[in-house]
Amino acid sequence: VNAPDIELSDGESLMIDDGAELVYRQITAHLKTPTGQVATHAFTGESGVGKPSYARASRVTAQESRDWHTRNANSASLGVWALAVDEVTRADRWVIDDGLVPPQEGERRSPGHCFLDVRGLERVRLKSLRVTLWNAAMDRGEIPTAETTAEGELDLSAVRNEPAEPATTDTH
Amino acid sequence: VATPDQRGRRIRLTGERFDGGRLPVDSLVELERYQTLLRAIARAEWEEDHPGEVPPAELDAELRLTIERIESGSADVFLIFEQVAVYADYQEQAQDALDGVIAAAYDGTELPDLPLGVADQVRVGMLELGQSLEPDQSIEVFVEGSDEPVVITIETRGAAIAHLQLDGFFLNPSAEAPKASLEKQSETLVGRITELDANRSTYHFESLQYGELKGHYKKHPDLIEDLRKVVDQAEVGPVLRVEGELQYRDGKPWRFTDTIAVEEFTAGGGPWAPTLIDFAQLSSGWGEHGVGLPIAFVALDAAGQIMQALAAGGSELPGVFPSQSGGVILEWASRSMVRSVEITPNAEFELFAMPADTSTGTLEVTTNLDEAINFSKGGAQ
Repeated sequence: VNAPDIELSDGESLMIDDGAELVYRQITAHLKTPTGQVATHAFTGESGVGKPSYARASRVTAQESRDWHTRNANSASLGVWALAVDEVTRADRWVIDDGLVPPQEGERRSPGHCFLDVRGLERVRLKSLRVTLWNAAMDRGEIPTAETTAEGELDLSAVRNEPAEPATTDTH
Repeated sequence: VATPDQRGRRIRLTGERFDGGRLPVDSLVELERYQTLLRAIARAEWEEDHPGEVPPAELDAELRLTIERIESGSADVFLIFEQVAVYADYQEQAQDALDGVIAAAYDGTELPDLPLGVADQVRVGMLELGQSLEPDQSIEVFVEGSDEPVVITIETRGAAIAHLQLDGFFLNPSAEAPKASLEKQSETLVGRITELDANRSTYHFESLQYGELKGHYKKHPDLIEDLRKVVDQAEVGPVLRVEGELQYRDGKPWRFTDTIAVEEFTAGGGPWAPTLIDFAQLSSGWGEHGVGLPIAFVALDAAGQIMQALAAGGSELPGVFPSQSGGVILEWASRSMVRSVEITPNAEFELFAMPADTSTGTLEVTTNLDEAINFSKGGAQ
């Protein structure tokens, strides 16, 4: 691939082998309204200097990526949406896997971490890219995941509707 | 000459030798110590406001205390400043600060904000205060905000000295900060006023972004009515915007040295108002990877005005998002059309629209609010 505006650092690689692979994006409180509207900039960030984080579906499940984010990032994930790698490349941008880049001091990088390269885009191009990728993500719909449970807490959402049975042990 | 409404300080000396309102000459040293402390704090306050400058001679002159009267009984001394003029603010700030230090040392209350670099001088002065006391004598200092005086005796002084000598007593980070870290600028903050002191022309302000700050409004006494209105309301007062000269210390907002305007922050008063008020509380680093500036008031204000205009005209309301650059994004998104108004922290409006069947949208930038409102009326159409 010879794209003029790509600069890869040591340990970074373009994700071009499997265009169908999904990359997961965590949606936090400031990227979603109370009525469920997801911001278009959720998929690109707002400026052309950022590297919005995603997680590779070939490395982690959507649930794992949500749980990691909620437990480690500065705001909880409210849900997971996704793009396919080729939806990004069709928009002339790239997904870059930086899993082999040594983490900087204090940096916590999620399992399967990759990022969307939106660096250097002028405003109208960036805003247009937001819409293109937002449409792709909305077409796919939200990836089903459950709210992250606290460490040590059991997820009982699957048994909520079953008849109650007398508790025999204390699970808290 | 003191004005009739000038706040004085009452210091009562009790013990046999003070009976009948007598004030032995060797007790004057305690009043002198009190004045020395006051001057040190006031000078430091002045130097903080005027970095690199030499305090004017008039400042010391205005920080000279005089005995207004001595009541009978024990020596009940009422002290006032000899004159009140240009530096009245510094007199008051120093009195407040010294009250706070005395109460902190003797009653264990919280140490107030002290001007930069004055901690050592205040410590020495405080260690000396009360040195002339003999058994069965006391000095009662009546500090503002408390009905009961702080009582200095040989016994209480011993405990206070131990307290004052603790390394941590003056570990108020601001007290040790370099002078260069101070700066002042006009700013507007959003928050609640929790306490008003009309006598001192000060208030306590709970900033939604920065926590508790103190504010002064002496240069704008007419603000008292606006302030009373908002303080007298419910236990949790309304969210306000306060505009004034905000002084920063170590890069963090510290106090409003002057207040120009106080008004309720309604954000338009519609269902979107709580969202905008939430945005007003975001502090630096709120976004992804710790990026994200506080949201500028001008952007919140403009967003509220656009929402208000849309609601009044029955137009479709957008989703509202904070932007990491400190602005607000209004966005209408449907599968056929995306339209957005991005309000920058400089009150520019980026008007963007992109129909679904295109790969590139249109972008216009304006500073005209009416244009932004007209554009917004298109909604997701």
